[in-house]
Amino acid sequence: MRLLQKVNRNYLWYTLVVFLIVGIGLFLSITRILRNEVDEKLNQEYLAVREQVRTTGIIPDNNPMVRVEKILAPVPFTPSFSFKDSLLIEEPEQDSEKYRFLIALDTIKDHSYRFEVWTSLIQTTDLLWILLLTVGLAMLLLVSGLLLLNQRIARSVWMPFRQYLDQLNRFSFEAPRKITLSPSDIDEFKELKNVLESFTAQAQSDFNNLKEFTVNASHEMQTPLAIIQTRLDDLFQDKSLDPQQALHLQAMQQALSRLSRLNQTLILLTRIENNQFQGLKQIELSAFLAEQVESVRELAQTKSLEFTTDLIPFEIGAQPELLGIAIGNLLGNCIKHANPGTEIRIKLDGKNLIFTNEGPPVKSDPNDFFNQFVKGDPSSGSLGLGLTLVKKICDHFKWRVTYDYQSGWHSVKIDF
Amino acid sequence: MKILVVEDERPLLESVVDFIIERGHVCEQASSLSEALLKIDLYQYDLIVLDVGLPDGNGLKIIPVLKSTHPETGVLILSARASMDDKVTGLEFGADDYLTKPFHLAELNARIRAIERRRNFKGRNQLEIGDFLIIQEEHKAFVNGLPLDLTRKEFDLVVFFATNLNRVLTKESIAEHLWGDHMDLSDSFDFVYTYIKNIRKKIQEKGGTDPIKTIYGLGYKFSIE
Repeated sequence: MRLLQKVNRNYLWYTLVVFLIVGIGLFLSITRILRNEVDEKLNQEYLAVREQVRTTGIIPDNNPMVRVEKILAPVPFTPSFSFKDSLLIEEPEQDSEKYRFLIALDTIKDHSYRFEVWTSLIQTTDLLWILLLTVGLAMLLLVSGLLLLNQRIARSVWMPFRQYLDQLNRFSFEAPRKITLSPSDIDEFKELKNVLESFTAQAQSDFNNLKEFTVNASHEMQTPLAIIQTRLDDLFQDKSLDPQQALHLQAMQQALSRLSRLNQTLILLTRIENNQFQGLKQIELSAFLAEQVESVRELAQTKSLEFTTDLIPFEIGAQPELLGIAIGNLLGNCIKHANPGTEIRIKLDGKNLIFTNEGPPVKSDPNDFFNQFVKGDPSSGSLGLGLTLVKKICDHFKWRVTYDYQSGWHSVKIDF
Repeated sequence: MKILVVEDERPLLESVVDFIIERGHVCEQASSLSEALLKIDLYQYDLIVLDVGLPDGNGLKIIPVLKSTHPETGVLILSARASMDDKVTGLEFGADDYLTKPFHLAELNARIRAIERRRNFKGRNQLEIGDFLIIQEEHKAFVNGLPLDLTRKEFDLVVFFATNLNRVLTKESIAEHLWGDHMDLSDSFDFVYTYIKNIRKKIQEKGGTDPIKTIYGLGYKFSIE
């Protein structure tokens, strides 16, 4: 829900409640005032008729709204005086109309009379409705005007906020320059602008430091590794090594290789995470895949593995280096885990790419496969970074990668 | 060849220089950008092995200077930065090849040999070792004059061995040479073994003597002694 909607909704509820209370109050009090007015009028008329009867003794019969009857006085006679409402059917229109009348019993000069004075309520009802409608209309105008005004004010007042959001959305940590938000004359937004600017500047500098650190760390680590590697290479040439020493050297070489590969892979992962690969190229994926398969075909043949490919030409935007690393890793994985003498299936259609190979079930939880340092077989010498790298690369290109195992078939699927 | 090695890390510089001399080249060394600039101004080299991160500046700065005076000199960049941008910049500057630290000396040798071959291919594109003749441009290898039917990777491996004649090559260096850095092939050593077995078989089928010796616990060595 948008901020303005939320505020307006609250406003609306509040005005509705106020309307109801005011409306009901108004209705009740106006009804009361009008009734008093009518009663007063009836009473005055009654008093006039009564006065006429008393002074002249003639019972008026020319007014349909006034009825006077001489009655036999009941005993004991008590004068009475009351108001009543009634609905009368009007002849021509068959409409019922509201009337109010006064009934009075009284004695004038030893005679008892019954007085009825009638009056139509139609005018007062009309008046009541007109009043209520006018008030309602006024309130409606007031509320809609307020809402409209509110919207207009909000639009201009929140303008800087929208601009900030927009600018932040387009903000990249890698951008060479600091973010500059458009100035605002509203204190809250001034404050927001300052906070945002200092935050992003801080984040940017942290990001750059981290990036620099990564490059430096890699440099600092790679050179000593290179020294160890070259010296080790020299040691391997020593003809006077005994078998025991040779085994030590071999263990060192294995560890060093692992360390080097680990370092390089971690640097690559960091670089992908830091979004340091920019610029996509349109790649014809089926040809790219065919080339990659060709480069490992011999390797696969050492395990008597055959490739079955079903590739439909498909163009995709990617960085060739990263794509090559991802596909190389997936192919390597298939070769590594496939049962000797089986086939590796690669299928590319317009939506996804699937690598399938036959192999023994894995020992660890497949859900963890894409996490760092998780290996299918914990005892293997693998780094457990291959699929992590694949996942990172797929994430980078906004593709989805999933693993599935069904009755002896492992498959990794990439949805583009 | 006359080679200049530019590298600021003493222990690495020494290893590389010793190794290059051992492979039969003439080798000089420089440990800073200024020293390297001075040397290329005074002397002419066939190849410069260049570290990018030098204490007094980026090693890549040497390349334009070098290209203006001695365009025939080859450049092999040695960098700790595994970043693609460095690689691309280096090659755009006119470097011939790029090797990321850490590296195997055998790999360095193979790269130097490749540049040598590319830079002066008049008659230098074939290797003759004992009964063996390897013509790299044509991807052909012969033993006693008979052609060996090698696959692409097998041929690569034979060239790698022949280039590093009489040196012990570890399984790691062979695997990395054949499949690069980023493939996580923990059991690639079995593959290395399979390749070597196939090569040996093919050589013996043609009546050649097996030149690949297994050195227990260490690796393999190509030698015709």
